[in-house]
Amino acid sequence: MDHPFDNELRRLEDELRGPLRRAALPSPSPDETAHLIASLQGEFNQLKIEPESPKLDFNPQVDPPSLKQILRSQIRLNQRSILLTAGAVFCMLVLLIDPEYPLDQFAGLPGGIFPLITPLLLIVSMLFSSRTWDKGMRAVETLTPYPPALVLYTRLLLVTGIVIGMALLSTLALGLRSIQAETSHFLFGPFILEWMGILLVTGGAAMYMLFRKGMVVSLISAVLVYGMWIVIQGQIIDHGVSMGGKMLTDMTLLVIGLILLVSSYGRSLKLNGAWRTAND
Amino acid sequence: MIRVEGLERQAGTYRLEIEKAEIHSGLNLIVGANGAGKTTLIELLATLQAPDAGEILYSGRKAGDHLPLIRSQIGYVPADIELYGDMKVGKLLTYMAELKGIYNPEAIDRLMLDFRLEPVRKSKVKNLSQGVQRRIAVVQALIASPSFLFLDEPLNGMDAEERKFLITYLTKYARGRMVIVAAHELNEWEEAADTVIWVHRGRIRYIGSPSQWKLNVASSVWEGEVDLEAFERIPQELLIHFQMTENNMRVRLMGKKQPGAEFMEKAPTLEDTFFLHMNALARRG
Repeated sequence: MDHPFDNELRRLEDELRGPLRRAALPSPSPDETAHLIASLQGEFNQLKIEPESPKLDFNPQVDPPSLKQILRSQIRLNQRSILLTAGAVFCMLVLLIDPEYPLDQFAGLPGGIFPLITPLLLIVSMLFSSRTWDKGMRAVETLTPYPPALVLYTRLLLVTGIVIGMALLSTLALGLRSIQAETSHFLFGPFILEWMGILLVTGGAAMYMLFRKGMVVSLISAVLVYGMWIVIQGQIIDHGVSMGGKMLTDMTLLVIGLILLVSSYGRSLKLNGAWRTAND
Repeated sequence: MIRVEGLERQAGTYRLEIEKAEIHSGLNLIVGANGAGKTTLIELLATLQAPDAGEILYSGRKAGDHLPLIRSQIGYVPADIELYGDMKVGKLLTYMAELKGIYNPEAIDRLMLDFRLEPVRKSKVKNLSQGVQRRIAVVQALIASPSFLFLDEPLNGMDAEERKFLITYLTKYARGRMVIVAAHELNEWEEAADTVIWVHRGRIRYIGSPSQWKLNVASSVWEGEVDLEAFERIPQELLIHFQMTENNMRVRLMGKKQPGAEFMEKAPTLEDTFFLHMNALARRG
């Protein structure tokens, strides 16, 4: 039995069939679908290309530090232990050295005790300041937005400065002691030239090698230069080289040391400059 | 994003080899047994080691060509670090900031407040507890707000509260940035990790979501309480965790079938999943 509502719905469908047919769009044929897909293929291909993540930029919070700023930050580091150790060593040297014969041999080794100890102190201080025993801290200090060798370079500069300063003060103290002595053979020029020559060449070699081969080779070079100097000193004594000849050798060492220092300084500026240009 | 291609690096007795891998932003957890290559991988990604072969690209930049730029965006916390003990906390952080080219004291002040270091600002580092020193180590890595933050066992030496704080902090920090953590204590990172990177014998075995990693396991995890006699019979290699109760032993173990009526199946944690995967590897030889 038909429900009255069914009849009414059927009548409504019949009445609306005509207007709905005009309003409804015919479903697309397979050909039309294929044509549509083909026309959109370019868009699909675009979607398939993996979106490129934006290129990494230099950290905007980082302000490029100059060599002076790096040096200043290194001064913040506690240098007290180096200052105290160097102070103690030089005090001992001033008291140990005979003010009448300050350039005399020491314990069978050629050369006076002062030029023998000073570069050794520099090497030990360099080793200490590089903190080679602490891998973690070394790693953290390596992750700088500039060549990490610059940090070590400023550290070596600082240590060399401390040792030279202390050595100059000690030389002055030694000079004062020798003035008070009855007969003194103390000559400021040759004395300073002797320790300054080997000190600069040792420090210079270390800094020169630092930028080229790293910290370990740098320290090895310093030790090698020091060893070679002891051998040269032995030769000078064996061959009875005059004071003038010895001074010439020391002067040569001093000049080589200065050239190495200036060259490493130039290298540090170049490295810093190259980094700044690369990140501008 | 960090993309690794054909990476090779000899590290002690094993060789780290990664053919291809992509690491995305979020908190990425590197898991693996001792000596699996976690630290080597993290050091390579942090540009502290150079690969013997292959490339690492940071958002399209090659490490070899843009080292200062990439390093300006890297923060790193090593597993072991001996901070300058004679320095005061404030001075040490200022020094570390200047070393990174940050001359903004506010950045340090904000982090010191966040990490509750303000009360010890004028204390010497050597007089502080291991946990506080660890917090300082984390702060130094965050000073420049780097896009890539690498932390090797960052929770070492921290108490429960400090651990919870750091995990929460890093979870927030990882939004829009990349944080990579190498860890042993996996369950603590359960809620925080977006991605798991499983390293085994120098190779990445899995990289993806923690939930998928858990689904990949063939065994199940069971928990129940047994007497000491029954506990003795359980093969050691199946044990994940056990705890003495008043008279019995509360045991968590792995197995394909229910070990006994007293055991109930449990949803595996990250640590369980690690054990299950390692066990499956061991069985395969």
